[in-house]
Amino acid sequence: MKKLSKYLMWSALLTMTMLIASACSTPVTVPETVEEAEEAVAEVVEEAEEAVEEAEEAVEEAVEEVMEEEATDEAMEEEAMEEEVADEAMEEEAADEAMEEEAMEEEAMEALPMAEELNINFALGNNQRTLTYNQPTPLEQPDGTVISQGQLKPTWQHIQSQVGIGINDVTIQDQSSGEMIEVSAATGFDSANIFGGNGVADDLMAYGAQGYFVNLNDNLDKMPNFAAYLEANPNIAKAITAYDGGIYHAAYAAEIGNYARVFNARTEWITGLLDSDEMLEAETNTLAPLYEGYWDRTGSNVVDMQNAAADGELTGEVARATLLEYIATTYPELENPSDLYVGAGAQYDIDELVALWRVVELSPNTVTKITTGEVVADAQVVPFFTRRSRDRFDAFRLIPYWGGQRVFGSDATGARFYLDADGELQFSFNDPGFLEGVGYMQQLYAEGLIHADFFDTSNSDNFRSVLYAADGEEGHNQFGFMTIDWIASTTASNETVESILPPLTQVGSEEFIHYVENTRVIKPDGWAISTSSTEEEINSALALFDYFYSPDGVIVQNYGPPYAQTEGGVYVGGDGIEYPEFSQWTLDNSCEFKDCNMSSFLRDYMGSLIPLGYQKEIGFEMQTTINNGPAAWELYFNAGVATPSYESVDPLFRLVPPVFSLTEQDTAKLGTLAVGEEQAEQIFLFIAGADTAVESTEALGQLYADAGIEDYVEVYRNAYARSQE
Amino acid sequence: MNDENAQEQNQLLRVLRIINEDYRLYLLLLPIIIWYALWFYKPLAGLLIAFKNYQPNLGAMGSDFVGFANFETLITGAFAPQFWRAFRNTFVISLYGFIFGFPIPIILAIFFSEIYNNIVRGISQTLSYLPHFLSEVTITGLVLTMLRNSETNTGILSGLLINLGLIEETTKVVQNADYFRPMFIITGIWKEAGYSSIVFFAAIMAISPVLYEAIKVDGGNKLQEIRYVTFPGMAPTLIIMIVLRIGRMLSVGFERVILLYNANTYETADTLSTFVLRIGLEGGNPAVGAAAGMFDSIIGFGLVVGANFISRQISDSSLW
Repeated sequence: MKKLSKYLMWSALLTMTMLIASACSTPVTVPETVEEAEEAVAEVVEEAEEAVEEAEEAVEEAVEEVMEEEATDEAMEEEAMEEEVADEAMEEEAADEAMEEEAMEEEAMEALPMAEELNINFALGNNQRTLTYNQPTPLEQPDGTVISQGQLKPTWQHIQSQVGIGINDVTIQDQSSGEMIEVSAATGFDSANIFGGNGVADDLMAYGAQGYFVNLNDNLDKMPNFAAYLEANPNIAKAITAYDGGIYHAAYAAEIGNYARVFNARTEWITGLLDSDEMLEAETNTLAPLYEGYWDRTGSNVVDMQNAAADGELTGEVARATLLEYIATTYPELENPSDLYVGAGAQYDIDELVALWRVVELSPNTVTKITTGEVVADAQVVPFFTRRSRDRFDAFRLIPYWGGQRVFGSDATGARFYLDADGELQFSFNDPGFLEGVGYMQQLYAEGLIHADFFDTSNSDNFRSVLYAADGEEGHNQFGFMTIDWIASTTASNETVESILPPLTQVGSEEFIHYVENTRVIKPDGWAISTSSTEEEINSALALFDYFYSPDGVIVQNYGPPYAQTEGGVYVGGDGIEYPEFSQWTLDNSCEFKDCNMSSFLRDYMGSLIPLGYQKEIGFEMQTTINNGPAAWELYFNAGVATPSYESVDPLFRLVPPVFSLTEQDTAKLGTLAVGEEQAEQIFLFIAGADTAVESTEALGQLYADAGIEDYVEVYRNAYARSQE
Repeated sequence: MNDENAQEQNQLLRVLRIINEDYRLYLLLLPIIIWYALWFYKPLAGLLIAFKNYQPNLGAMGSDFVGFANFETLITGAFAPQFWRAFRNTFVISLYGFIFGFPIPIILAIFFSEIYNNIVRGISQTLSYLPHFLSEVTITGLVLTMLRNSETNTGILSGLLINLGLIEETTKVVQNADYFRPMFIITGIWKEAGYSSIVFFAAIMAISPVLYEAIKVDGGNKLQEIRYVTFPGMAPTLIIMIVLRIGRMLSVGFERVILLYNANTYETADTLSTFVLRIGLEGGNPAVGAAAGMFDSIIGFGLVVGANFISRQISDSSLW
C-alpha cells in the first residue's frame, strides 16, 4: 500500500514538472517592440501560472486518490482481518473437531482389550537380520545403556515403549522364512501371534484366504494410519490383496518411484581412451569378433565397422580407431568422443557400448595406467561384470537394450512375468526376444566382454570388490569397467566410478529413450497376524502393524530410535525432499561396526529396515551416499530416465505385483509342472558355452515347453486377472 | 479252552522270566529300539504324502488323496526328464563307486597286513583313517579349493593338471559335468578308503597263520598267498559287504553331491537324493519328492533282496 502511495505521488510530481517544462519550452517569436515583449512575458507568466494550477490540481487529485485508496485498503485490511479471525475461528473449530475425533479414536482404541505381550516369528534365514541382537560385540547407546546378545535390538526396545506392548521374538534365528512357514502351517500358525519374513507374501495370502491370518481389511477402523496409507496407495492395496479380496499381510514397500540398479563405469577410462592419445600404451591383446551389430539407428553400425576392420582378429588399436572414426562421423556435434557415453548428453546404444567394451578389453595397459599411474603387467580387465555369481541374473538386465525386450516385471530375479503392449501377462524367459538377447550375450561372453566366472556358482567371490575396490593393493591385477548395480554401494567402492545414463533403446515405440527396467517396488516380504491369537492379542498386533505407518513409526523403522537422529536436523535429499538427519553417534557406529554401510548397521545392530510391513524411505540411502553417488541421483532424475511404475498407462512400462495370489487349485496345478530354476540355469550354461548346454536358443525355449510353460503361464494369467478385478 | 489259556499264560511268564533274567541286556537294547522306532518306523507314515496333494497345514492325513498322480508326474510327467536323469546318475555313480571304490579298502587292508613293523603300520593306518573324521564340508571345501580355476586364482590341483597337460588352461573342473564323477569317486576314496579297510583288515587278521605257513611250505609266493589264503579267508566278510553295498546302490551320499555339484554339472551329478531335496523341499513340492524317495526305496529294497538271493545261491554267506 505504501508503495502504491509513493508511486502516485511521484506520478503527480512528474506530471507537474512536465507541464512546467512544456510551458517553458513553448517556442516563442522574438518580440520586435517593448510592448510586444511585455505582452509575451505576460502570456508566458499566465501560461506558467495555469500550468502550476493544473499541476497543483493533479497533485491534489493524486493525494485524494491515495487517501481514498488508503481508506479502501484499510477497509479491505479490516475485512481481511475479520476474515482471518473468522478463518482462525473455523480452523480452531476444525482442529478441535479433529482432536476430538482423534481423542475419540484413541479412546476407542484404548477401550479395545489389548494384550500385554506379543510373540513374533519373523524369519529371514539370517540371524543378523532378526529382531534380536545377535552381534558378539555389545552396542553401547548414547545414554550408556548396553545392548547385548539375546536382547531385542534398540529399535524394537523403543517400539515396545512407544506402542506399550511387550515383544517376544520367538523366531528360530537362522531359520529360513520358507521353512518357518511350512513348520508353522503344520500347527495351524498357533506358535506365535505374528508371522512374517522375506519372500512369504504368497504364502501369507494363500493361508490367509484359508482363514489362518486376520483379514486386515475388516480391521481398518483399528488401523487409521494403515488405512490412510492404503487409500493413498491404491496400487499397493491391490498388490497385497488375496484372490478372495482380503488383505492378510502388511507388505514391505521399498522406496517406490526411485531408481534401483543403474549403469556404473570407470569414466576415466572412457575419457582416457577416447579423448586424447596421451595415456595410450602399446597393446598386444586381440579378440575374434562374434557379435554383429543390432541397431540401424545412425545409418552405420560401429560393431559392423569394427568387425570389417578386424578381418577376423581385432586389435585394440583398430577397435579404438574405428570407434573414434565412427563417433566423429556420426556425432560431429560432440565436443569430445567420450561425451557419447559420459554425462547428461550421453546418447549411445548397446552396439556403441559393445564397441567401447572391445576397446577396453583390448587396452589393459592403457586403462591400468590410467587407474594406477603405471602399466600393470598381466592385468585382467573385465568390461562387464555382475557383483557376484549369485547375482548372475543381473546380467540379463542388458537384454532390454536389444529391441526393448522386457525381462523382469518387478524388482526380483524371480519376477519373470511382465505385461506386454496389450496388457497381457507374459513369461519373459522363453520369449523369442529374450532368447535372441541370450544369443547375443553368448557372443559377448565368447569375446571375453562379460566376466568369465559370472555364472560360476561355486565361485563365491565378490567380483565388485575385487574389480573395483582393490585398485591400490600391491600385486593386484584385476580391474573391472562396468556393472549394473546399486548407486550407493557401487560408487562407495571406488571414488572414480561414476553412474552413466543407460543405453538408448526402443520400448514399444520407434522413439529411442534412456531406459532402466529396474526400479524399487513392493516386495514379497511382510507379516501377518495369526487368527489363532486371542482378541486382545489381535488388537495389540493391529496396533503394532499400524504404528509402522504412523509418522513416528515411519521414522523409527527407517532411521532408528530418536537418538539415532539429530534433534531437529534435516537432510535435504537429491530429490529435494527433507529427511531426518542421522546423528553423529549413528554415523560413527555404522563406520565402526559396518564399514560405514548404514543399511547393514541399521538392520544388523539397530533393528530398523527389517522387511516387515512399512514404507521404506530413500532418505537414509541418499544421506549416506558418497563419492560420485549423489551426482548419479542427479543425473538420472534430471535426464528423466524412463523406468516402469505401477501407475503407467502403457502396460509395457507397468510393474506387475511382486507375487500373485494363487488358489489351492493353482498350487496343485503348478505342482505338476517342472518350470523352475533348472531351465534358467541352462540359459547360463548356454551363454557360457558349456559342454552340457543345449545347442541353440530354440532348444532353450523347448526346455520351457517341455516343462509345461503354457499351463504355467495360464495359471498366473488367471491369478493376475483376478487381482485386477 | 482253559488249557489253552493256561498255556498262553505259561508262555508269557516264561518270556517275562527270560527278560527278568537278562534285563540288563534288554535295557541296553532299549535305546536302539527307541531310536529305530522314532527315526525309521514312525516316519514311514509320512510316505503317505506320496499319494496325496500334500498341504502342510492339513498334514499327511488331512490332505486330499490323489492316488498315483505324483508318481505319474514324476515318471512320465513334467518332471520325467529330471527324474530319469537323476535315476541314471545314481546308478552310474554307485556303479563307479562300486567298481573303483570297493576294491581300494581291500587292497589297503592287504597292504597293511603285509607291514610287519607295528609302528609303521600304526602310523600308516592312522593317516589313512584321518580324512574320515573330517566333515564332508571340510573335505569338499578342500577339493573345491584345490580344483578351482577362475579369473581370480588357480587351485593347486588345477595348476598341476594344467601343467601336466591333462586339462586345458581354461578348463574349470568343478564346472564341467565331464569331471564330476571322477571328482566325486576320488574324493570318496580319499575320505573313506582308510576307514573302510578296518573291516577287511580285521577279517585278514582273523585268518589262521597256519594257512600262510602251509602255503609257504608248499612253495607259494606272496601273490599266491593272497590268492589262495587271504581272499578265501575274508570271503564271508566280502560277501556281506557286497550285499550291503548293493543295497545302498540307490542311496549315494547326498551331502557330498550337494557340496560338490552345481547347476552346470546336474547332467552327471544330480542324483535321486539331491533331486528329492531340490524338488521336494527347496522346490516346495514335497509330495512329488516323497514319491521319488519312495521309488528310490522300493528299488533299493529289491536290490538288497536280489543280492542276498544271489549270494545265497553262489556261496554260503547271506544276510538272512
